[in-house]
This record gives sequence, C-alpha cells and structure tokens, in this order.
Amino acid sequence: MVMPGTSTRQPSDLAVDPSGLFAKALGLVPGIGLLAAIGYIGKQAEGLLKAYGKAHHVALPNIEYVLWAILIGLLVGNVFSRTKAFAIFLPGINTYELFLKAGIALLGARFLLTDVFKLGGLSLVLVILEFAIAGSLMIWLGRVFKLGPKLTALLAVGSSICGVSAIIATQGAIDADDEDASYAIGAILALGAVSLFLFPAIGHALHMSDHTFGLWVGLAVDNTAEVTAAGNLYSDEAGKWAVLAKTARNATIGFVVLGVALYFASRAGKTLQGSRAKLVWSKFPKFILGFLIISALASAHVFGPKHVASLANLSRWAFLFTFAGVGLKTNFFELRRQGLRPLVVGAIGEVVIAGVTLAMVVVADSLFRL
Amino acid sequence: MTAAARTAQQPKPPAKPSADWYPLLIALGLAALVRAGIIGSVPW
Repeated sequence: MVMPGTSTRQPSDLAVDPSGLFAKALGLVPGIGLLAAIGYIGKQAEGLLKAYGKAHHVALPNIEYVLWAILIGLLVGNVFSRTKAFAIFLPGINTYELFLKAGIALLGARFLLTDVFKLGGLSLVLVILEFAIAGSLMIWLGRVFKLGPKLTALLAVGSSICGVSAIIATQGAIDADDEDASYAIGAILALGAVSLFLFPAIGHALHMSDHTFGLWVGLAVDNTAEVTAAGNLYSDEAGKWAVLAKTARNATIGFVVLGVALYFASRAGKTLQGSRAKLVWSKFPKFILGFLIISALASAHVFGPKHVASLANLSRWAFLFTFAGVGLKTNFFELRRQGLRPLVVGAIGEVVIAGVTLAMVVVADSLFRL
Repeated sequence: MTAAARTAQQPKPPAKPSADWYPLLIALGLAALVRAGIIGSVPW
C-alpha cells in the first residue's frame, strides 16, 4: 500500500546528487530510526514472549520477530500516517526495500551453489508453470472485472513475478498511472500480509516438509519480504527454500517487463527506444547478482563458518528493518477507499494461485520426493 | 539546424551510478569487511 504523501519511487531516487548528499542522508535518519526501533521492539517481544512461556510453563505460540515487526509497524503506520509529523519519517521508511535487497544479497552466504543447483530442474519447471498460470489468470480476471489494461498488467506482473519491485519496474516501462500502481501494490501487500498468517497454518495442518512448504511459499506469495517472512515463520530451512524459489521468479523480471513494455508500445503504435537487451538489463534486479556472487564466494569457501554466521546475522538485521517498513507501508483503510474491484481480482487470483501451486508442490513431492 | 540535430549534438550528461546497484554494493562491501575481520562476530 502506498500511503498518502508517499510515492511509488524506489530508494533509487535517494542520494544521487553529491551536493545534497548530506542533507538527503540526514533526512533518512528519522525514518530509519523508526524502522530500527520497531524492528528491535519486535525482536525483544519475541524473546520476552518465549521467556514468559518458559518461566510460567505456558505453551505460547512462537511469534517470530518478523511478525512482531510487521504488526507493530501496521499499528504505528495506520494510527500515525495521517499526522503531519509522520512525513518526517517517510524518506527513511521508504528505504525498507533497500534493506530487503541488501539482506537477500547477504543471505547468499547461506546458499551454496550446490543448493541453487538443487532447486534447478523440477523447481524451475514449477516456477515457469506458476508464472504462466498466474499471469494468464490475472489477465482473464482483469477483463472479467473490467479493470483498465495497465492496472490488469500490473496485477498480472505483480502476482506472477515479484510483487512491488515488478510493479514499480513495469509501471515505469508502460508509463502507468501512479494510482494504478498504488492499487496493484496495495492489493499485493494486503494479500501478502494475510498470507503471513494463513500459509504457515496451512503448512502445519498438512504436515508439509520444510522444503515443500518453502517452495510453495516461494511460488505463491508475491512480495519478496512476505515470502521471506512466511518462510521463516515456518522454519529457517523453509525460509531458505522460499527465498531460493522466489529468487528464481525475480530473475525473470527483466524479460517480463520487456514483454509487457513491447505489448503496450505496439498497442500505442510506438517503438521502444534503445535496444531490447538494454531494457532487459536495466530492469534486471541487480541485488540478485549480489546474492549469486556472495553465494559463489561461500561455495568457494572464501568465507569460513564464522563469516557465514556473521553475514547471515547481518541479513537478519536487514530483514528486521524491512519488515518494520512493510508494516508501516500497509494501510488497509486507504486500500478500502480506493475501491474493492482490484482487491477482489487480486484476492480471487491469489487464492487460485495458492491452491494451484499447493497442488503442484504436493504432487511434485509425492512423485519426485522434493 | 533542426531541433533533433541540436538535441543530438548536445553533450550527454555524465552517467550516474544507478541506485539499483546500491543493495548489491552494500552487501558486497559488508561481506568484504566481514571477511577482512574489520566487522567481527555479528550478534543476533
């Protein structure tokens, strides 16, 4: 959800002009401080709840720091987002995607290339199937519910690849309205927040293995932050597989954005400026390269076990900031005011995609033992 | 001279590093600092 006063710009727009670098950096401090405070309170809340349950011999649900950070962020964001003072925090809050991407790149230390190759083959087929089914379904639903073609395209890209990043990249490529992007981002984030609660519950009910559950989450949940959160809520191992599957989906972003841009350019009778390869490269999420480089270095034993542990903890700290930002940026009231049709399309699509991908991983697991 | 020709003759602005690279650079920088031992054991 994009809240009033915010834009759909990425942290990319921050600190580019060296002359204003210090002022811009200073402007980020309140928001980043807020992310840190909310994330840290979430981390402490997890520890306190565990300690309370242990001390009083009560079986309390294990609510991990990620969920605490999102819930506290949701509360703070929805209560204070309309106040004038909140604007001071927005530039820093908008950096949450930077923390997410840096955190995922650092997470590469925990993935040896042998693990990445393990995902290959069958899982890659599942990723392609998910992509085709999700994209087609969203386009069909968009037509049935008479959404605009650009909003439909944004929802299709968001649900088939990688949520907010893909929507932002596609918005730029097809020159969609900010309002359309806000609708699509709002729908993806709100549904992603719901998935945080539902997916782990379904996984436990079906006694899914860490690998199968992680793969399902990586295929079905759209925004990378929620994928990481939902996977880690199940287990560390599930979180690892969820991120791996999601990374494979994210890697296609450049090609999909190119396809959508070509489609809209041909509809408008325009030709794309520059080469196609250049467009694909410009839309390719570079943090994925970071993930692969760090993973390759770890596979080559450049990092010892202590280094890997430190890098993994650095990525956890980065995610702490990210999840606080996800909570702060999710505004359910604004979503409701914007209208329900895009949300209905998103919800129907996500439920069907979740069901289809669940069937896919369960069948693949029973046939090929994932 | 046409407007298009004038535009073509204008010097291009120097390329700025795309912010898409920031997360990658930050992560690689942190990894290098950890590997060099400048960042010690990171607690959680």
